[in-house]
Amino acid sequence: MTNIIEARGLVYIYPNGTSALNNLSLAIKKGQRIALLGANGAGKSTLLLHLNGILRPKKGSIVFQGQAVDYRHRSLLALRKNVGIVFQEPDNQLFTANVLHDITFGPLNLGLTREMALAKSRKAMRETETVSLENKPTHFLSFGQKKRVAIAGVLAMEPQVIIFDEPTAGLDPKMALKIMDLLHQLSEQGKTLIISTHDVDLAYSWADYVYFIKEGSIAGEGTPQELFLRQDLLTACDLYCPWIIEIYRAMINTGLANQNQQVPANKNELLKLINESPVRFNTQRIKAIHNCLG
Amino acid sequence: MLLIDHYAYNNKLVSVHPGEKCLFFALTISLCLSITSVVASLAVIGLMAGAIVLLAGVPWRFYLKLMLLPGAFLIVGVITLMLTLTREQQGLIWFTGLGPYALGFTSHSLDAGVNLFLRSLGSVSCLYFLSLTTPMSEIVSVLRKLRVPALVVELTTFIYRFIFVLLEVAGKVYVAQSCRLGYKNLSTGFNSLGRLVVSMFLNSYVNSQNVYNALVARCYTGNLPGVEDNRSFSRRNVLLILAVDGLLATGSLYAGGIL
Ligand SMILES: Nc1ncnc2c1ncn2[C@@H]1O[C@H](COP(=O)(O)OP(=O)(O)O)[C@@H](O)[C@H]1O
Ligand SMILES: [Mg+2]
Repeated sequence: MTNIIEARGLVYIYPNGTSALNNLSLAIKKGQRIALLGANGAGKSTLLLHLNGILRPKKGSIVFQGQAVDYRHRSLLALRKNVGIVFQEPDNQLFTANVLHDITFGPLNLGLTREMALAKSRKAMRETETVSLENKPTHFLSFGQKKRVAIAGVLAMEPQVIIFDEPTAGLDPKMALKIMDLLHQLSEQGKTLIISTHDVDLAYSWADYVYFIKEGSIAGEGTPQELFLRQDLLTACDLYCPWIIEIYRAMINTGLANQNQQVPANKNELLKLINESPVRFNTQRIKAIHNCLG
Repeated sequence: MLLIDHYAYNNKLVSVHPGEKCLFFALTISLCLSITSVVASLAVIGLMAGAIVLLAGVPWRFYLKLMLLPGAFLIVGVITLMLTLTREQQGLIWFTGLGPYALGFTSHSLDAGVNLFLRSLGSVSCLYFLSLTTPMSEIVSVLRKLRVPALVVELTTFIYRFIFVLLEVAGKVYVAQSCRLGYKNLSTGFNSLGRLVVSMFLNSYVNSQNVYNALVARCYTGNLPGVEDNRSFSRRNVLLILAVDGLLATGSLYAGGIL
């Protein structure tokens, strides 16, 4: 499979002298579900702004479908048409009081006719369940509703790659789950998705490839099942261990599972592992697990 | 502010074409400003009150409160305009002596004052009609159709949106300050208010960059395309508006003795 978007040796320094990206490279394949993980201030948002051509690296380049972005008007528009970004703060993204006006903004900028733009917007509104919000002013919407309108505004442009900067930050668990469901749907439609997060559990069970970012460069990359097993790396990047891995470790330590078995990729696989475990639970084992988990 | 905005989106006239409401507003306010007669002004005030309370369904108590706001300012302003200070007392219909001077009204100044007061109140009620029945984004779309320069249209769009963002942030900062007793007395109050203003400035500065980034990310190239709704004018409503305003014009010209 070919890389849809690549970052090669990005270096970025903010005008105030903060060095935010430090020779950072990554290559993302079409249709992947990517999670970028890192502590606050690691440089995730800065990286994402580069992938959509908003920030221009001091050194290095962004390559989209094999072509380096040259930052001229034309090539920027082409990049932004294909790489959509949903910002962390919906209030920064919604620029008008009218929901429909905001959602049709992108498609109209692409030069679509009014009818086409409306059709795509309505489709995006159905996918994000914002149809009923059409006639409400944005300042009377809840945070979750604003977030969904912001997502609809990006989906309506039908980009191939969609970036979500901290998609679940500030949402209640139910709304967060809904957004993750939407991400699954989008992935099934063949979109390439990139999210930034510091929620290890979310990244672990959602992503098929993860990058750990530390101080503006990649500290590690791989499938979640291999990368999250490296405790030293997690500690270095100020990340916690996902609970699925913790349980899996405890099961190995207590003899409920053995090292040769595949690392469970999500909750269901973990439950399966428990059910198929040759050893039955008894009070002693449960005590042992308790001790293991501290 | 917020409540006016609430009614703009939730009133019985919200589905009426914004162009019709703007037409009604424009015709009536020009009548009110051009015809100097008490009858015309009273008729406009009555007409708008009827349209706002009966047709749009805005609670009359709320509308009364809204009218009292400019009403109070107008009374104070108009009274100072009406008063004359002279040495001669003839011609004054009411006065108090101030040493060698007399402070009072002439019948002419009284007339002019009452006229001005009612005319202003009439115009204000026209403005209230528009802002209580028509969401800002629809007014903006009418402006765009009228070929108002794009800069004005876009500024209006952004300003209207970010008034509410700023209000929300200011509200949060204010609550956070109050929780730590920032407003417990006058001096801490002034201090906190100063900090609030400064933090709003900094916030706006940082946010403006973020907003611009978000616009650019969706291929913003310097103009905001609008999706105009293609609701068509209802001929019945337009005729009704023309009839009502025509009646108003002839009636008040007649009552004013001009016809
Ligand atoms: N507009 C800005 N001006 C100056 N420094 C910034 C700006 N935005 C972010 N930074 C700095 O760049 C670094 C990376 O920030 P960011 O990319 O936002 O991290 P993350 O999204 O991973 O939390 C941080 O040290 C942050 O303080
Ligand atoms: Mg960030």
